[in-house]
Amino acid sequence: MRQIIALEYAKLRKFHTLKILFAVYMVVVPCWMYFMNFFFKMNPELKAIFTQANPFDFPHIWSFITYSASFFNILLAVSVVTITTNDIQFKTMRQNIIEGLTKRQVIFGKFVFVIFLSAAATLYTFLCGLVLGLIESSNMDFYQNIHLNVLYFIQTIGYFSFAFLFAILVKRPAIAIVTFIIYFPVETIVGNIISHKMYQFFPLKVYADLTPIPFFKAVINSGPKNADNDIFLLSLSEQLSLAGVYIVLCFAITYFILKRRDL
Amino acid sequence: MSEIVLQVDNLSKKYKKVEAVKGVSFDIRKGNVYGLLGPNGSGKTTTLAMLMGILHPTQGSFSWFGNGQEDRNRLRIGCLLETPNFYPYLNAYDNLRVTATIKNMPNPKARIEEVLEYVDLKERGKRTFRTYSLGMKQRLAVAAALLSDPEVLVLDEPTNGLDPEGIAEMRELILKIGSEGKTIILASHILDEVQKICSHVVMLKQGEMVYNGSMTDLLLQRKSYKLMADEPQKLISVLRGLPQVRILSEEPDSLMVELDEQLTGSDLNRLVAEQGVYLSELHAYQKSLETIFLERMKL
Repeated sequence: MRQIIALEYAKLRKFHTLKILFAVYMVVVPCWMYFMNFFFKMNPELKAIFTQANPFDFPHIWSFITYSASFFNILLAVSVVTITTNDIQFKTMRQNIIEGLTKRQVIFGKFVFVIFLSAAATLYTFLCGLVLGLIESSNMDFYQNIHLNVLYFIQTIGYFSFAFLFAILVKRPAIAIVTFIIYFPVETIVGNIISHKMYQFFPLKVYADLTPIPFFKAVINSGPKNADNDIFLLSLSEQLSLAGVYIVLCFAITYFILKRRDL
Repeated sequence: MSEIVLQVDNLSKKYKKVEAVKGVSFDIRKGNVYGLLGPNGSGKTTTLAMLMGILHPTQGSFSWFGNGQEDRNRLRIGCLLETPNFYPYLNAYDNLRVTATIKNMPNPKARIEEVLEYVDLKERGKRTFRTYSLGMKQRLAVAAALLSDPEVLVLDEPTNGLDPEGIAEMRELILKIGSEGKTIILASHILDEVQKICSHVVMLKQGEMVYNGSMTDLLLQRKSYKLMADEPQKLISVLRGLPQVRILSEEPDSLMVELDEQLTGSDLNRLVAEQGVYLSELHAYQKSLETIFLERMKL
């Protein structure tokens, strides 16, 4: 474990693309929060639909910031794709194996990286929410809904492991990034064409729903109840189980591909 | 006989319609320098890639250090396969640190300095890999292969991209490593270099092994002789009647011949004398590895 962490650190500590993408993420997340706050102030009618409270107020800030940050996960997912495809393009993954690394260690190394990146993103998002909340919130009830940060952590692991699978499948950096980005709307379109119920089980949908639109369920529940507008939603435990299955599947499939593939 | 470090048994690799390696079998013994020879596309790199765990053999097996194909075997091997592959955004020190981490080296700093000094890259070690010339990249790859002081060194075209001075240095380096008792497997096109360095040869042609044995045996097997006699025409007709002798060239005053592996120069002298032809000159010529190689590839 220590060896794998040391190896990933040695490989990535001077990889500027990762630093730049993470820096952009660090800037856009709070900026987006302020923009949303400003937007709701300018559009009180929308605020009334989505939230009845100030987005910066505890505990609402947790749902706002995790939901907002989830959009920018794509930046960090791109870094996962870039790092993995570079490893293939530069033949460094091949060289690592020649030098004695096993394919299992290669996968484990990427898993460790995904966990660290997810932890860093979650920690930053949490700190952002905490600081913004402490500055802007009218109350100090920050314990409530704090679990959303854990769900965000699982969500990022899900996105990044999916990005890793894409990178291993496609191999070429530019094509892998484009197909990964295109997959998001494709999944939404295909899922909705097949059926709304089935769509709830699609991987990115499962990950996305871990940090849902703030007050989405409240808005749905506040609507008129009849058989026609009953919306099928997975429970949190179902979402978590499915997310876990998808994460394991992503790494298992990549291991299977790497094990069979000539490098 | 020294111990076997690598046993290759009927190793084959097939890509859709092309069979790159066809049932190759050989042993590599400890402390020897082996030359893996063959023209482009003969299967040298494919064979080495299978032995280094990055290609799956279609058939056959191999065993490093008597441990089969275990991944941990590769920790005991230093390898430069085809082109040097490093992280372009890292400098030489950082790239070697990656290798050292894979090789489980606890305090690699001093050793990294040492190998960079060894390949004359210490001064430029702080520059990123992407700024290196091909020769510098090649030298860094050799440094990486040597880093963990491996028991076996696998070098695939290590002089690629090196200037004549670099080639000479690399040859000295390989000889030096070989003299330290390390086992080396060297794939190279530069046959003069292989002849000077290697004690054993494995020769491949279109994926098939055409020779496996010691360099001395290979060179001795293929001696040629320059013959002169008072009656050259009679000598020619006598030689044509000897199935163990092959005439290579006929000059106005001399002949170049090649003998069967079992026949010596004195045997030849005796055979022609029995036919009433007396040689005025008989010179043995040692063929170069290059000549032997080219002959074998034409067969």
